[in-house]
Amino acid sequence: MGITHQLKRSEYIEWNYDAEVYAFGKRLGEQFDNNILREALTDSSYISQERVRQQELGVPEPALTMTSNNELATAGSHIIADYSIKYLRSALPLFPEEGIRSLVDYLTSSEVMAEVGLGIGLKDLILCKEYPPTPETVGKCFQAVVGALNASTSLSQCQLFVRDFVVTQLVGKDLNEIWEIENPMEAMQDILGRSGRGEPEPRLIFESGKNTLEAVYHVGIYSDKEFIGSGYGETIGTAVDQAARDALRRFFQTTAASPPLPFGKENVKLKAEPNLSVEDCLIPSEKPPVRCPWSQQHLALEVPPGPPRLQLQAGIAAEKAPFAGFCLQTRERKQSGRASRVFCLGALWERARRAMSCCARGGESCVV
Amino acid sequence: MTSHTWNLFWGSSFVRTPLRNGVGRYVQQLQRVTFKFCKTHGGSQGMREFIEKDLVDFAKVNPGVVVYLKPRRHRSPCLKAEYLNGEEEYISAHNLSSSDIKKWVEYLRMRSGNPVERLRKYQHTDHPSIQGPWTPWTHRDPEINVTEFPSEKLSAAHVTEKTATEQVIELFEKQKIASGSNTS
Repeated sequence: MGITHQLKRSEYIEWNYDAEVYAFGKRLGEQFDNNILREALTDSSYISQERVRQQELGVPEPALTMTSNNELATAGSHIIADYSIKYLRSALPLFPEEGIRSLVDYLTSSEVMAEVGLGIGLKDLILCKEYPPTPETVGKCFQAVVGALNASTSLSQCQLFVRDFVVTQLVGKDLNEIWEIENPMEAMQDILGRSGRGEPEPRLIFESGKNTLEAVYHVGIYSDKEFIGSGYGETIGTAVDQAARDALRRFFQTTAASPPLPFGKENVKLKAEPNLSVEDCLIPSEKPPVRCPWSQQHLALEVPPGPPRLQLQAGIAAEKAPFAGFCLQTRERKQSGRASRVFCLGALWERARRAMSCCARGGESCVV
Repeated sequence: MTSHTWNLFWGSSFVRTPLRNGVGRYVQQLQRVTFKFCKTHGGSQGMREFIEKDLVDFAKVNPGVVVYLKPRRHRSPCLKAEYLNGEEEYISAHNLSSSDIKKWVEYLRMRSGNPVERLRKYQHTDHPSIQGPWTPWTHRDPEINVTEFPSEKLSAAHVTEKTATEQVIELFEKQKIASGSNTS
């Protein structure tokens, strides 16, 4: 036997499209207008296919009263983007505007739209040419469903729908991974400078296993002798990078300890004006500074006034010298000479600006 | 007939829910249920009774579930459930009474489409750590960074009990206070 095509669910004997469309609305807890919903479920490829089929059958003027879901899809996508931006601005007031845009880009990406659409049950309801429908078709249809809901009920009802199905896709995701800052050290330098605070100084807090395969460095970043963030790394460069990211997370309040996004019964007050951009971010001075509990004790030590400063002058590079102390991945990276990141700004790096092969990217190489 | 017994060869998974169900609103995951039965055979008696008595109530209470009836000659009755994530579940209803079938229908209604697996943990959280995971240096005093080793202070034995001398001194002090209060 040859390859038989996969049966669509609608080709089974037990199939009732009217019942399916009715149940679709009821399942979601929404009251859709039947005609508008059917229009939202009709893809343009289906209409063109129908037209061709009718012409083949000999019908001279195919009187197709169906309209495709293009208009509803554009309307729906506007509603989704608009509401998501306003909701996230309100829920994450300290997160920069670029970050909010990144999050909304992620939410409105075709993958997420398709995932949500399939999870709602659109796979068997969409009228389109191919089966199974492509992710783009499903995503477009989901946006059209949102547009249809807006046309059937009110905007506020539609916004609740968007909140419950689209914005919840951020739950469990790390927001800082979706919006990754390229140069966290530089960004922090900028923000601190504009806030009138001291330059960020990375200092080694603890280290273990130096020059071995399992080296770990715990680096803290201090500004005016106040602790603002810390991070771990296999190499000093990685640790400094992680510390800078940690400091930025604390500024933007997207740490693990931050409150989760609100999805309860209370309606979030939507914020229309944009958040501060990264270029405008300032650390408010009336906020109590972030203090590490033992930093007071640490500052009390007179001799010497603090842990050893990271010595990264040209010629002295403890983490650069031995080759055998690194894992295979690191060794290969060094051999290939790829420097994925260059630290060029900051108090520590004023001396030699050089591509340090030890400052390689890699969350996977960081011991957290 | 996967629902009837559990065996070791089933997989294991963590608690999960499709598409963040429940965070915003709860969506019933059962999409369609098909009742296949024979109109005359004795094995479908319970199924026919269920259809006559309890099916309409079920359909009214669950408007989001599409109910299909499929009478098929000379075949044993079964229930087929389809879920929003594409999973299907078959349950044979041969020789089952209508109350049994009602219970199985309720079981199908409550399931998400996730396959039945051993749960490795009974809870899930997106924030397993608030203060950050423990590291070997979480409670270490950074004073060790600037200590010259060997250090007498850190090498000294941890004294947990009071020494005999200290106890005698304590008794003496107590005596002094007691005699002092007596005289005054």
